[in-house]
Amino acid sequence: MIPISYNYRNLLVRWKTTLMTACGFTLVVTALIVMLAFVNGVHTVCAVSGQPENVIVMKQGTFDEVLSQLNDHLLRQVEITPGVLRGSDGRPLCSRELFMVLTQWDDRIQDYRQLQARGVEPVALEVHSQVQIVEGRMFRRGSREMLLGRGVARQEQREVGQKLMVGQIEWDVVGIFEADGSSFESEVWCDVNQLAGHFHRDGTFSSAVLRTISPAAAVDVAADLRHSRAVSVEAKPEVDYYEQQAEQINIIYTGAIVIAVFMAIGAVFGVTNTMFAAIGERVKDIAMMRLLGFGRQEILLCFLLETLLIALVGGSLGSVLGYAVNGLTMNTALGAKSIAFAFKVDASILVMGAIFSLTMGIVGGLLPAMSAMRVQPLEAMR
Amino acid sequence: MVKFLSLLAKNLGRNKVRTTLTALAVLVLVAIYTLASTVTDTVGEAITELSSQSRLMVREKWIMPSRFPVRYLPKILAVKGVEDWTPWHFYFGTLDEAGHNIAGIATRMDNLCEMHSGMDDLDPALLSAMDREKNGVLMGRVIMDQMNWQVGQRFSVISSSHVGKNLEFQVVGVLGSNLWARNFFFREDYYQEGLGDKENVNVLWLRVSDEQTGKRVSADVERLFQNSREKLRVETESAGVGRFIGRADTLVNIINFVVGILLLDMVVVVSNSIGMTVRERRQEMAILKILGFQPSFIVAMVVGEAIVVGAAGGLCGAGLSCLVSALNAAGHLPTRIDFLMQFPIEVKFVLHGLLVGGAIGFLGSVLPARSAFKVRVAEAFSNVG
Repeated sequence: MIPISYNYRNLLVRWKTTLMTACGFTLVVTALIVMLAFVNGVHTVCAVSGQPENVIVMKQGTFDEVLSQLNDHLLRQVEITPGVLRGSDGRPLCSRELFMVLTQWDDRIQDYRQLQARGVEPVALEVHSQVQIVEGRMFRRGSREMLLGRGVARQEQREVGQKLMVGQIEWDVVGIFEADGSSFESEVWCDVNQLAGHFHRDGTFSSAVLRTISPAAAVDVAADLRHSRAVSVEAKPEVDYYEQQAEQINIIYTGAIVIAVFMAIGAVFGVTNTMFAAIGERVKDIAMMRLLGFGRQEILLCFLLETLLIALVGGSLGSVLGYAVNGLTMNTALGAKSIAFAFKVDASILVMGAIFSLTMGIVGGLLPAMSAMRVQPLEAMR
Repeated sequence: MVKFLSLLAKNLGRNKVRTTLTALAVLVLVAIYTLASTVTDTVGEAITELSSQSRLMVREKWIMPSRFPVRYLPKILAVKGVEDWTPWHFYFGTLDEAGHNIAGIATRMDNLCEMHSGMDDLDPALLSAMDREKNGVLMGRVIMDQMNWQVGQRFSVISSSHVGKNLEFQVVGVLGSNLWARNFFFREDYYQEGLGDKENVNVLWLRVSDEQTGKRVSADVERLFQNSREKLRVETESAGVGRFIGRADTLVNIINFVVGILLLDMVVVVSNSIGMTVRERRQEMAILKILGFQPSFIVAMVVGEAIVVGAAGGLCGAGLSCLVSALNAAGHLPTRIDFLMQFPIEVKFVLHGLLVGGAIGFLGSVLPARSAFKVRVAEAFSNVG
């Protein structure tokens, strides 16, 4: 086999071309990683928002709680569905919630912005077990107090003890909660009756979330509710609900792959060019190697290896650059909601970047390597 | 000039493989650049087209989706400066078991064109047809293509906004505008009778004479209902739509980032290719200098080659994506690409591709041209022997 140092030294000799070609790989891999990290970040938010033991109940036919309306009478029937767990006080673990997307004037930016408010009862903390108050305390029932999700606290630059305008009045911020990075962190939570009263929605709820004993029980309870003759509601395991929300982002995943593939094709043409030029300059080298006894396959492998080295360098650099967005927090629309998410570069994305880069290397290097393989030694040496 | 161009052509023809590969790389990258730019362009156009300052959107102040009582209307319409109005009633649902979502808007048909952007060239015959057919709809073209429907198609919507109240419709016309590509419009009276909802309206649109009047009307209407149960907010169409579309800012920014990378990638590819060409022709360039050609001529030759390759690749790339989009719209592709229906690539992008390709060629040639400019006769011949 031809020593790898031969390739390495050749790459160094033509360092400008090598660098430019590697740049092509770097750009493709960076773009791919950024796009996939965006999709992954949004998916992660949706994945952790649903608890497998929970069932979300909405108005029949609705697919988003923003559009759903349920009344108290209906929910009294829903919460007694067999399979719903009961709390220490013997009451069903049913979180009645009023979710509202509010348009709120912001003095800081001198424009309106959206604020997502969820009116809940204290049982919500038992049902949504991922929600943990990390600063301050729970709001008191019947008071104009609220908890801020970590994302909202960051966006609004509010701390415990400060006030936040919601609707026409200021509410006291009494706590900040985290929820494993879920979409709840993009919301403010307050007493459901206070929220409903302020916006004239008394007796109305958007959804109810039921806690069951296990994921299998959640599937059964959801099915029971959907087929119930007593109540007409839309019920599904909470994980399914959030997965469906995340489906909107799948088109972006497809788009990311399509763009990356096209970019890769462009880069492949670039590397093919480089390798043809490299081989053109080294026809005599190749002929000499053949005369020294190296076989055609070894020549093929040698030049493929050279392309792969460029791909490896370019791809690695692209991975490093792409990784720079990891953890970057932004907001994006998901249906009617707006969620805070963090770009998430995980191992699978890095592996995908590497596979992309190496595939580009192989495809781009194959034709030139085959042409090198076919060099006739005696003719080339003349 | 002709001699110069002929020299360019000959030079490009000397290494056909390299020229072809470079042009192909630009072609592919411009094709995807065109597609990505179309998305951001369409979003920008939507904001521009809906930038009317003389159309006001009245909606419930706090909550989305908005909804307020119809009984507010007489008071609103009595505000001085209101010239025309139309209501919007939302009707959401799915078209079939496959879950094709659709958003319908019930409104007045007598002033449909005047009160809505993107309907200026709507055929009056369609409005007459809407007058005749109570359950008629004007349907967005993406839905028509997705469902493979023709005018006259009857369909029902499984409503999610009005559960259990599924209305039957008939398509009487297709809306050409991109703005309403996924929506349909139908008669307000059919909505009110079919759903029994005559008490509320989701959004009210007002037309005023100018921006100043608009500001005054907005303030007056908001003041009228500031102590009512459902408070109202009034804003110009441009402000409202701009904010709605602004929710997709992150995505648009990511697309812009990718577009930037695409452009950079093209520059790198062209620069690399032209750089190799210059390195291979250093002796030849030195001879040209000996023969009396100015360094500027050599630079022009290098830059010219790059621009020609870039422009040709760009033209073909944009032209190809435009052709695919047109074939897709005409249904001549084996599979319909929904994305291209929503973001069709317009013919103007062909010229855009040519210019972008040319510009990429120019930028990509800067470093190689600099290197060609600096070719020294003695240095170039030092290796001869």
